Amino acid sequence: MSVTREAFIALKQAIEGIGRDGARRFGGVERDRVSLGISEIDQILGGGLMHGATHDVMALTPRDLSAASGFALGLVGLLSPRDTPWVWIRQDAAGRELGEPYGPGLASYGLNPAKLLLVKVPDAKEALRAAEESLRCQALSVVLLEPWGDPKQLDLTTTRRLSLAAEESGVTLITLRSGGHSPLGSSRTRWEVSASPSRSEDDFELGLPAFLGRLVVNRQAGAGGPGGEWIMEWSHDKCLFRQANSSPSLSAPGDGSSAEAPSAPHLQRAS
Amino acid sequence: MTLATARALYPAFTVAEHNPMADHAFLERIADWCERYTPCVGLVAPDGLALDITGAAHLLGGEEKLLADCLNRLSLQGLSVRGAISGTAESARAIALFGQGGIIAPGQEAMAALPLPLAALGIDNKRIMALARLGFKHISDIAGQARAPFVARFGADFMDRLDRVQALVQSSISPRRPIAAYVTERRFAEPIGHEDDVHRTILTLAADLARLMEKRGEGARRLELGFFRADGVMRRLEIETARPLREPKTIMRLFRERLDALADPLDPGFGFDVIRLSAAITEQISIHEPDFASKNDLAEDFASLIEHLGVRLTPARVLQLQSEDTHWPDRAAAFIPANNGNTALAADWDVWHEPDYAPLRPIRLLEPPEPIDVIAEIPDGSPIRLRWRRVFHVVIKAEGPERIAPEWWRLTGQAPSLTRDYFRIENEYGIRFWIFREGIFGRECTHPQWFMHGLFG
Repeated sequence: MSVTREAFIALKQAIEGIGRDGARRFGGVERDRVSLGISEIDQILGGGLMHGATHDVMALTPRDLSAASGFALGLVGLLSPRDTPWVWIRQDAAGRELGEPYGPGLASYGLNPAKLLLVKVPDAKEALRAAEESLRCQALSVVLLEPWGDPKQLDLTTTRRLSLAAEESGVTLITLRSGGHSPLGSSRTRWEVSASPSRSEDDFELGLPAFLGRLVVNRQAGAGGPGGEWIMEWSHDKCLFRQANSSPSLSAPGDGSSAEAPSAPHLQRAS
Repeated sequence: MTLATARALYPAFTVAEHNPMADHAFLERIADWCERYTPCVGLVAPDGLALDITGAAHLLGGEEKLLADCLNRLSLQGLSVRGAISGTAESARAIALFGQGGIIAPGQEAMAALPLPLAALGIDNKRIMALARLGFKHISDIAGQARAPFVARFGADFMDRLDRVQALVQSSISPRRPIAAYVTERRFAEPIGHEDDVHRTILTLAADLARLMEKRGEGARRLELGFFRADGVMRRLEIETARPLREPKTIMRLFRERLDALADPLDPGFGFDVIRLSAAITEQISIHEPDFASKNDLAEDFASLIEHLGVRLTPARVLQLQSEDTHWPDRAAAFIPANNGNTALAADWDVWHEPDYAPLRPIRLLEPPEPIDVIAEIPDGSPIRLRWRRVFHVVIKAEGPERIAPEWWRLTGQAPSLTRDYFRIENEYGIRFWIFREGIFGRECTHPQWFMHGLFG
């Protein structure tokens, strides 16, 4: 009986070794984390967003696509040092609908357009191929993948492949999903993003761009909670998010959407 | 004979209109195929090809065999062909068209040309008629005569042509395409068609090419792979690289990508009997270039990524942003193909640093700007409501206008474009747009049109 039990534990450890936990996979070495700029979120993420992993950004509704792009580019800004190349793979349809990346805009958003490699792909299949190829290139910091619609090619197997490629090279993949309720895949985190009205009180001043970001999947190693919902502003000057100071509408953090870590405390945001 | 007469004599005959374009295209295709004999193939309009076989004949077992092989293969394809080998292209043409064909031994060209009619010179009919009236019908009638009267009467090129047809002066064939610096090829007695065989051949060719280029310390920036089918079809594939390249495995991988991504797959038909790999453009590579397989050099890694994506998706889809020195929004950034050999572009982007204010420019730009319907308080005021792509948006916040005047110094000869007043607006959901009004109300136009130009994050 005890032999079976030992064997079982060994097997379990072996499985965990192969599994999603990058920290174990890489011989106990904690992977780099990057702070979002909001300590509460960093704590829930277990110390910040993980490098060498895949993260999903989804628009809550189709009209929030531009906000989701903004949020995803914010993550790119966090994860990508200014002198490291990054790749934006976008499907042609996304370029037509939402516009092409604009250099001066990216610069004023706190990113370095000179380090951008834009890859225009005709369809989802090519997008995924290009993403996998890019993830193997260690010279990169971030790959931003923007397929259009809800491609059926982006299934569990494919996302798993992409995560493995990301883990191996240390390049981070951010998938900006434009629509549909695609299967979960194997991403470390998933954010549902919608636009949020400006915090500025002046009608003739826009103020910093604001997002309502909902962390619906949190599978980072050492995660301090299942998820949550925050109103964030992107500070292009510091290249960090910051918590919006006055937040009119905030509901309880995402419950039930993440099946993992059920024992984690139910987090209530103090306002 | 007129068509009507011909039809009366033989009613069943089919008529096809003369299509010089199609003829030319066909000739080009035959020329492509003839590159199996030599890379230097020139067109002799309208229906001839000139092949420079200097130094190439021995590869096929001598001139006789080459000529016989070429004529035989072309006739098997259903063409009527005549050929000759001689000291100059003009001489060969004259012998092939007006003589017996075959091979003219060096030094015999002038003799061989003597019995040919004057038409062999390739001059126009008018001059031939005029010469005939004077009693000159064959080259032998003219050769050895005083040159000056002929030049005076029939033009300076007349005697030049005579000299070339007699191979008294050298002439060169102008090739259709630049001749590659390095060429390797494999010929097969039995045509190959299997994918694995083709791949193996490419790899051995790449290894041969690498050895050749290594001797001179060069690498290829553009490679060409030619597939010559046994039945006379030739297919050419090209790849461009982001850096000088000679590692056979990498070349092989790039071509595999290219073959995989082909819209119309490579059709071997009855098999390929010649496969040729050539380096069309080469560059020096430094001796300290590390092995391409090593992962240590990140820049190298990045260049190879650009290359792979470029080969698969075409270089026009793998782009870098370049900052342009202009204030006009449409032109402030340009996308340039990333395989420009310059993986690090200068980072001279103007950054607007206003810590707590909204960015001045959108992250995504719609090109071209899309017309929108806007309601404004007054014709030159801020927008209140707008409709874009059939959706209404209420403008909650608006910053602007930012007036941007067109670059009048660029506008030469075309209609001047109008001044734009840009607004950054936020709608009821907090979504931000970059819109502009084209034309200053009352000064440039009476009904300014509004456009959506970009989306903010």
